[in-house]
Amino acid sequence: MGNIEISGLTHQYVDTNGQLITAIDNVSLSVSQGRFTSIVGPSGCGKTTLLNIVAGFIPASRGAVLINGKGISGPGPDRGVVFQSYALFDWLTVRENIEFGPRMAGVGAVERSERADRFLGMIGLRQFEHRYPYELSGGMKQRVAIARALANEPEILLMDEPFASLDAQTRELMQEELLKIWEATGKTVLFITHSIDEAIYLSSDVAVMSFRPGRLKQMFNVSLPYPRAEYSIRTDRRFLELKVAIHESVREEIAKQSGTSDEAA
Amino acid sequence: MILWTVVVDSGLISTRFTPTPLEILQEFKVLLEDGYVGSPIYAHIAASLARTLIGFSAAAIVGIPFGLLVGRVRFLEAAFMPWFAFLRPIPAIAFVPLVILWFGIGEFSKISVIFFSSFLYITVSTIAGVKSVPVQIMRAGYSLGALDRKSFLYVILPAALPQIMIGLRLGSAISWTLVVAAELVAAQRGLGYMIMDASTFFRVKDVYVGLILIGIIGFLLETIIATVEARLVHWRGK
Repeated sequence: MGNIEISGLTHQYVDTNGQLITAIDNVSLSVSQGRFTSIVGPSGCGKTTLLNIVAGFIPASRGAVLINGKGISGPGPDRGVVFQSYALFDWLTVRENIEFGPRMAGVGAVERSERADRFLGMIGLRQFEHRYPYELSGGMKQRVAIARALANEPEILLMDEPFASLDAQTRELMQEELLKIWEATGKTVLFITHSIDEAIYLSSDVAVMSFRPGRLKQMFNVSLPYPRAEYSIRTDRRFLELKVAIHESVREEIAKQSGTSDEAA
Repeated sequence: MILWTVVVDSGLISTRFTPTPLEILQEFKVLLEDGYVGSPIYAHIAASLARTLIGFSAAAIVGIPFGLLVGRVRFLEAAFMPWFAFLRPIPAIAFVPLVILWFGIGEFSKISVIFFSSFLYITVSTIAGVKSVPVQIMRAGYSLGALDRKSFLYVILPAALPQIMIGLRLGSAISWTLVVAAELVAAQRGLGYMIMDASTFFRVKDVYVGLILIGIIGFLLETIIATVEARLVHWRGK
């Protein structure tokens, strides 16, 4: 349950100049059940496009995304999504936001309430349950967004640079929070980020994508043990070695990014 | 107010055309007691209000669902938007003779002028509201299981509500403003009628009373709607 199988995924579109742009090209990637996989790469490498296709927001031009062996036909409650911009429903309270998914699924009021209680407790925001999103800080909003996605009990969690809008300290705290939540719920996670540190800290695997057209350049396995709540893991030798290796791989792609303005597509 | 009284009393402006505030107040008392042309003053106020509220409510009841639909269906939007853009700048007063031709001089004609103008504002604002829902919000809804009809009811509609309320506020303001225009269509009662009739017979003070009443009631209506808006869409702008 909760396997993602991406095979030969390609996405092309015609830009405003009439040119055919290949955002991602023949990407194949597997995320096994319960694994936490991050995707890193330079801006424009198509990692968000990839996530949007897996989420079902945009169609692929070629290739397939299989969830538990079945193809997807659009967005759905089996794949929860957390956005960089939180995308909380401003007109609903924290509790109502979290209960939204179950409400859509027809879950009864009592069970909805219990689920909301559970997730409110997990994110530590029970006292804020009747507040509105605009009353919360960025970190709190993102916690609500995560709880909202999880309350719907998806097998898979897709996260698009969820902590990029937060300040450095909150970001680190959120990473630890997320790990705790992940360890408690065992979801399969596909995580997009620009931060190599973040990717290594959180994941069991880190995929590096090349600059446009986005291809899967390299796959790194993170053999560090879980739980990783301790800060000291960020200075562990293996952590740093991985960081150097991944950084180099991404660096090559960033170099390509700055010099391609006159290249033909 | 003081300046006004001083200017008029000193004879700078002829008192035939500009009564002092005190005189206007006195005239208002007279009107309260004796009525205007056989109808008590509150009957005039009530007539104007009724036309406004009926026209505006109808415009809201028709305009909001229509705007929601047009906002969602690109084909409809492309079809209707040029018409809205074309019709909106035309002053409602210009439609009055046309309306007399089509519907005669009864209540329906007056209400239809009000309906038409506020309908345009409400619909255009509703469409803007629907289109301004951020795509992330809609996608968040999809991924939480709100598809199609559920997305429309539980995500798009509430997200568009701030803009819809703006449309309602504009619509109500313009409805009240048009009362005078609408009451040019041969009315026997109403504040607009009162103003036109009084000005015809040079009952200057009555004209002023009418104008001031229109201003006050318009202000009250605006305040009521603004309060409802602040309560209902409390998250706007935060």
